[in-house]
Amino acid sequence: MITENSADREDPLPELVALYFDNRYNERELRQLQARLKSDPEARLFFIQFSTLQTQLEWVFTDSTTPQEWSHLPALGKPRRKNWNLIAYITVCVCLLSASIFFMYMVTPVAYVFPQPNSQWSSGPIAPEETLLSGSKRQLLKGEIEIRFESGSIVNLKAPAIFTIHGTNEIFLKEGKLVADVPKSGHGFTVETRTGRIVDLGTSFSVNVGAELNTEIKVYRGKVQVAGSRETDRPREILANEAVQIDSVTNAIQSRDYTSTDFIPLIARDYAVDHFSDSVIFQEQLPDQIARGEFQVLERDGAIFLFPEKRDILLSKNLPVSISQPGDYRAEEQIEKETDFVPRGMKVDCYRVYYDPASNHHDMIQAEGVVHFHRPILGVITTRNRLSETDAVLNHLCAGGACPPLQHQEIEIRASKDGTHQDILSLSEDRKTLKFTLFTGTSYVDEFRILVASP
Amino acid sequence: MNDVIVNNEFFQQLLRHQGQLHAYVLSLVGNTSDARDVLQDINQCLLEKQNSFTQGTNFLAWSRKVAFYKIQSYWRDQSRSRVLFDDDLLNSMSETINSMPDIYNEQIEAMRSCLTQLPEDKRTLMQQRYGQFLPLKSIADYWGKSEKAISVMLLRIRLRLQDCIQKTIAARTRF
Repeated sequence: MITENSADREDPLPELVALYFDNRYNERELRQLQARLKSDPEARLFFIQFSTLQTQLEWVFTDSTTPQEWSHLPALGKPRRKNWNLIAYITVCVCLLSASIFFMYMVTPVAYVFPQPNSQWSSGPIAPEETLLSGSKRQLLKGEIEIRFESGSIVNLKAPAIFTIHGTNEIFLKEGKLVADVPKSGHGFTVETRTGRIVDLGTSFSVNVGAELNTEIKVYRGKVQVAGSRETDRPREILANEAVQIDSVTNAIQSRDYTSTDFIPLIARDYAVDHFSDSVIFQEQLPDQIARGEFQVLERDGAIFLFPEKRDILLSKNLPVSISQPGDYRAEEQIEKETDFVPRGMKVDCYRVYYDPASNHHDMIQAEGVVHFHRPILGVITTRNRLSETDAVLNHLCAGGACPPLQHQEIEIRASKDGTHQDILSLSEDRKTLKFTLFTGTSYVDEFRILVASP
Repeated sequence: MNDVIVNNEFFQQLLRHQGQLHAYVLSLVGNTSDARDVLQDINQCLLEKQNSFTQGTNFLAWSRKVAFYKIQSYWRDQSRSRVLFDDDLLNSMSETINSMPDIYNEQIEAMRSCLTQLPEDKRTLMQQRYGQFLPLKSIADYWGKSEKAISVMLLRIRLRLQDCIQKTIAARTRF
């Protein structure tokens, strides 16, 4: 029988059982408990009483009816002449009400799963539009799923991942990576991990809990509030194109280099960009400094930035470009021929590519990248002259054709004097893939424009 | 929720026995979070199988039978190295539960009274653990104590409560 003094006895059973329910046991303690339960009926009784107590505590502490609220009942005011039938009746009513609320809460779907073919839980295949209840815990073993919350928030998860749904707008991510796309209706969407808590402030963001249990957060659009798991940790706002990591040991929030490949499905939904290599960083807003031609704005070795510059531009006259045909471009003689233009009447989207290494030494620093579009590339503008000539049409700072002072750098499609460095562009036969190898030093910038057919 | 389902006698019985079923599942699963998931699966299964239940017979015994198969299946899915219950032990535990009197609701009522006798800080501790489901680490950080110290405190409070519940029920049966 459980008694208050059980914990002080030499019998290790209460502690073993508590360790088990607190999920703090090791293999030896588990085997010890198992042996005891198998051999001792009293131990089994103790275990059952203890677990029953646990559920009762959960029910009582999640029920809003406090003991104080009960004291207004007349039958409870006369301890010597208690009407036990009435008390029992009221108890049953209250329990029934609590049970109803608890049960309704537990059986009302809060989210739906849309799996990619062949996706699988640890328990088996995933049914299309499978419902998730508050408290549903799942282990995604294979494939990729989209979870649509009742709040409107959408989460994409790739295997392997373990998560639990909490209510209509919160998820606990134990392991794995998710990308959340939160509309206005889902404002406040929360991702909790073992090391921290991320609250949406109107945004798209990704959360990755890796092998070392650090939580990495990247923000593609809008902003989020990030806090470590300690109550004393002050939350920090993370803006678009920023990344941080919450250290699983120290709980410190540290800045990290932002990358955007997590957000490719969202980018592909809104832009003509289908896919890109890890070295390419897509950002939705082209900073005005870069549009003006300033450098040392976004400096990072090996990272090539890709910005949508202007969209749905209807060309009123032929637009001169440097490259208009598929092929490998390694020599100046190959570019800017008479036939290299995008004909008038075409509608185009313009993207700006920008590479500015950060290292403070004299070497040229190489970067390679690939961008795949789902609409054809009509032209690439690589030289300073052509970039300047097309600013009036393609630069968002030029209103009505009038531009503020603008400068440009360019890429050099030719081998360096010693023959070791060369910028190379390759446009695929289907015009949808552009590969580039860029070399530049810390005092220079490589930039060019890509023109893609508008829908 | 469909009114036809909510007003259905079977559904009402299922509601009335949620606490007992939850306790049964936790006793045989051990992990509080997994127990909630398994309970959801069991509820869904019970609703699907409601036609096989004969009104007027023992609902709790019937629902525990269905639950038992779900729990067996849960343990089979677990990694073998972390399994507490094999089939034999699971059977023994289930038999023990079925042989115990059903005083779940009386215990809850007694617990409410016993909780009022706890010092304020201990009630807060229990609220953090069972109302807010805070992990031990967060509670330990809040009180500035080690996880082990909090674990021991929680164990003592639970044992004290259990003792109080048993005494309260025993006293009431004397009236």
